[in-house]
Amino acid sequence: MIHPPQLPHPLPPSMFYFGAKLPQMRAAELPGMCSVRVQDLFPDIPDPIHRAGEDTTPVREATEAALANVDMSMIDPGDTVNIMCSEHGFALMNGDAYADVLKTIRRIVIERTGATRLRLVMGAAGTKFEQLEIIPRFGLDEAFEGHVHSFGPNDRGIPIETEIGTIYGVRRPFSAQKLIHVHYDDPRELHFHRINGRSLKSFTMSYARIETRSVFHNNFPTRSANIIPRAIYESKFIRDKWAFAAVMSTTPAGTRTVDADNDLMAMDRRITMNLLLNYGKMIELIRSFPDCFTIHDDTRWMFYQHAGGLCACTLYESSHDHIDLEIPAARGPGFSDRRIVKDPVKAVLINTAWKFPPCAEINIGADPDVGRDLASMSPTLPNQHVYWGKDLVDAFNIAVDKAGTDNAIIFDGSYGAINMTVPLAEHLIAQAPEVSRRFEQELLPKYLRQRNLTLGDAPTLVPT
Amino acid sequence: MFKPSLVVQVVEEACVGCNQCVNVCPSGALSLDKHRRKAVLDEPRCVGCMKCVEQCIPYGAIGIQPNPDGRQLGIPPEDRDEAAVNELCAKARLAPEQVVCVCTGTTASEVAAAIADGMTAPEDITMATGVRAACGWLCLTSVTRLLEASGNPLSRPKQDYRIYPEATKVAIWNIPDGIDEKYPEYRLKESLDAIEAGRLNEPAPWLPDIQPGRTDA
Repeated sequence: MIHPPQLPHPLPPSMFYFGAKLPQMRAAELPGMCSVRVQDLFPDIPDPIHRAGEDTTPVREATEAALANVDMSMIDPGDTVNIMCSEHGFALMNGDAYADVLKTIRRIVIERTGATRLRLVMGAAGTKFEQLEIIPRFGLDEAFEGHVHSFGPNDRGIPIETEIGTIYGVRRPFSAQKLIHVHYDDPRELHFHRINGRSLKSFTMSYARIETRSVFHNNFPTRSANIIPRAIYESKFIRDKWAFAAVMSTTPAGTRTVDADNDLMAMDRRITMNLLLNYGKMIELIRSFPDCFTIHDDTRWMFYQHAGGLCACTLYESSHDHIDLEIPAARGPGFSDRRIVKDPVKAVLINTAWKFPPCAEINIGADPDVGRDLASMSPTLPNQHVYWGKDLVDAFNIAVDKAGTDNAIIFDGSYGAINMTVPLAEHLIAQAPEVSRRFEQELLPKYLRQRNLTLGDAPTLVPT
Repeated sequence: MFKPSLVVQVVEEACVGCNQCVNVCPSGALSLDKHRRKAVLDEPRCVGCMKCVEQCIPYGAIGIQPNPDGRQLGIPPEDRDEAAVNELCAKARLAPEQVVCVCTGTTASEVAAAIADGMTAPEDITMATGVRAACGWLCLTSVTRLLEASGNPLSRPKQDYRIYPEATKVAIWNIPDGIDEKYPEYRLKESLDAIEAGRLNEPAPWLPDIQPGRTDA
């Protein structure tokens, strides 16, 4: 079950990288690295229809099939229509699949409704500078005939009257007569959405003003915070504009399919089932990690880089079972632990990542350029250390020494397999059968019960 | 304590006077000269958050430069009125030692100390404590809750979109009756009870069968 490393997809150039450059060597090329296939660990993870670098035709066909079941009669030919999307989708498996979903939706809406005033509105994750790279890279300006707009949480807002009070969205994404919400279901920030409204999250982050983001994070425990996006979705303001939603559905192995529905909550139940069935064991396996360090080698900020379909933040936050809704919160009112990187991660080695202040106690740059960039940023923790090697191999040895372990996992955007050191691979392979048993017999029944679902719903919600 | 590492500069010839930079500045460092239709920077107030640079993408009228002489933002413990701080934090449901701004490390007690010292404008509180001086995406309500607790709730004219005060009031302790029953999946009453009982952050138990030898349960 231990294979040679899986070389990740090539990195695009970016102004956001530490050291302002592409790496000379990928982390998967480090001596002693191997890979473990997610379907070897858990054979019930289904085969994907697409992964990074592959032809996107299956994604396009899946989008067309999903939209065939969607009612678009509410869209009149003269309507303005906003196709709402978020930056993170373009980080998944090189972004080609998500871009194809968006372009296909535009084409089909025009064909079926006669509407021509369609705009792509893209929520920024870090800054609105992201648009300068994403829009040209995926040919979005051409595909949307120049009607692409990026927005951020400080932009002018719009009040949304809801059952729980006035909530502010960003004006730009909501400024159309009809709205189409296009998302993805990788379990990014599981510790916030708790698989209890995954597809709603954009309404309190991507499309939201700073006030809404802040009340979501500070005025509610994570178990209950999704009442905010739900209240937005149920508001008259949204109901009057709502057309439909679509989601690029994934598993740790790659893109699974595309789903779409006029009823976001119905679609969200399918997302919930997919996440529990197809990611649940991997999330539980992450919770079994021994002391280790992480190696970051992809676009985007370190906590949103993937390994085996899971963001690094899943590992950083793995000391709590965030799927278990009996637990009120590991974040929210009263939260006092400011650490982003937590046990069992003892150190962070950055080969490539978009710049963000160092957030582990031990931070290591792969070379002097990366290290100096890291060190120049304001620390987020007291007693924080930044080191760097003369090259990646040297930095790796420093990480082993400082972390006190040779268990290392690489977050390089991989789906289907995870690159890591052999000792960690051996540990995970040994743990997988017990994780699988425990998940199937103890955890999954509880998780389903907490969400008013049963295994009997699975064939309907997530057909194989 | 937070030390800004950058400071912005306005490129006058490129500025179109659109006011967008003024509307995103967390420290009140930018204003608009209405006669010349140009943005004006009060440089000592700049915290280097770059929001104005981002907002000015179409025009590129705001540049950045290193700020090696940036002053530390924060209120040391010896300068805080502990009794007043504790009272404000309790009213605002914040623990005094709680970090309310992850980027800058500002604590609730620092924000409360600034307010206890008479500050009522979030921009002045940012200058005093560093809160909201970086991404500013998550920390706002700690400021508005403490201002409300002090009896000086934030108010702003409608056209000022730096902060929409009414949007900061939604909270689990303000949920109207009937919502808990209508949306039971969010367990609102249970969660509120957990907050009131101080049980919110109880860790999940480690799993002994797959976590051999762990002692941090």
